[in-house]
Amino acid sequence: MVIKLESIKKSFGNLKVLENISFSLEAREKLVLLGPSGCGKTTLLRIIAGLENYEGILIKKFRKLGYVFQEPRTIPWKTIYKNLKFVEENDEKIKNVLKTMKIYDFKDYLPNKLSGGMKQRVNLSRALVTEPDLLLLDEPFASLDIHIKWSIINDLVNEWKNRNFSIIMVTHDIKEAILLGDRILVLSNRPAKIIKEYIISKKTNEEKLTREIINLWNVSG
Amino acid sequence: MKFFYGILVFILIWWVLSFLINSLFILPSPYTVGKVFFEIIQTKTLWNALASSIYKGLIALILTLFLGFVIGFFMGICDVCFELLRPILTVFQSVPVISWLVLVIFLWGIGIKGPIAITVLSLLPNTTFAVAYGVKNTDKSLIEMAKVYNVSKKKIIKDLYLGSVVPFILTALEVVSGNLWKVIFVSEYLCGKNGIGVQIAWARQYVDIPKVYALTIFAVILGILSERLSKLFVKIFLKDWEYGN
Repeated sequence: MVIKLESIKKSFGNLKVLENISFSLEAREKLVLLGPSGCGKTTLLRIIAGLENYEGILIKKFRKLGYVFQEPRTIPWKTIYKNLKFVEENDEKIKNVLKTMKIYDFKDYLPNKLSGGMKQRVNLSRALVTEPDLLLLDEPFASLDIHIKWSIINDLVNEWKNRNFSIIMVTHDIKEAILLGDRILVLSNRPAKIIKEYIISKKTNEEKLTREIINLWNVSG
Repeated sequence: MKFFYGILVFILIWWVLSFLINSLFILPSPYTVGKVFFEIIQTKTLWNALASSIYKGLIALILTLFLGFVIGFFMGICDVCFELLRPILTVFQSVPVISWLVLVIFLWGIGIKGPIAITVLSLLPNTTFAVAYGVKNTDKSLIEMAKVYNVSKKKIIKDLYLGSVVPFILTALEVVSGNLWKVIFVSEYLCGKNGIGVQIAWARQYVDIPKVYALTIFAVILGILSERLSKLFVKIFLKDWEYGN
């Protein structure tokens, strides 16, 4: 087990955001938290990353964390290489991850010279360079063109196959969830609670699942 | 080219006014002032005075930027420090040069220390505030990112806070270099032993008005040159400091 959440609750003042969220994540598992926009997915990820306080029990058994933020959060005055150097000292590791993520040729560029897709590759490279046990992905592909999105997800999955880490991704995109996840937890509208769990396999019928999830969201309000 | 036309227009207006006023004690003609100007730039006294003013100016500039940076940085990262120091700096900002004069004359008398101290005290508040606001404006999402990756505090201060503050320091440098010579010359005039300000004071003492004007032109040229130089330096340095993801 990498992480376990038991009855996690979170409110901002009177606004309830999360209600009794419980799940656990196994090593090398790819878990997707799928929920409608604004339901509290990012808050849940921030709780796991230690950026928010919460009520409930959270057991963390991972050593290193990688976090791919929704926006790239690169240091604007540092080159891509130095952005990675900020989180990891080992030059060899930096070079390798930049090559794997296909941005090595841009290592001396400043972030504002890169396209949105490139910036997200930097964001992902920064998360991978620390060799995390757990990788958190916060809708990192939301603003990207579909072919760029697929290409990055493909590279990420290849990287996951070669390394030993687990993934939690939050998204509102059902296709993205099916493409990346081994398991999908469907969250309701705010306050978010888990309303359904799906195990994804090669036999999963994407269309049928999509219809089911949309129905679930409609019913849950 | 337009700049030179502007200067020509300025000289023309000056000429007309000096002709109308017709008083050497109020407004000597550009020709008279120009003649004195070329005379004084050939004397060793002026260049010694200039060296003295530049020496004081550079020391004051370094001290202002250093103190402004240190104090501003702590004000930026510590809200209590900011609230405690803000009133003092606001008061400093409004104290006229003449009031500092009394203090420094009692402390050090006439000499080099007085003009430097007055200049630093006059320019310090703006520099400090610029640095403090720079630190306060450090992107919180970057600090959060650093926290997630367990980046050391030392590295966060060096790479994020200091990085964020560089454009503010350079802007402060631009503003300071614009005002530096004005304050230096005034303080030299009031409590200096040597320098352009002292030369102006002597010229006034001997009612040598064309010399006062000639020295003023010299001071203006120095001011414009240093402002242009600092702008160029800032432009080159900030080239890679482009913001926005």
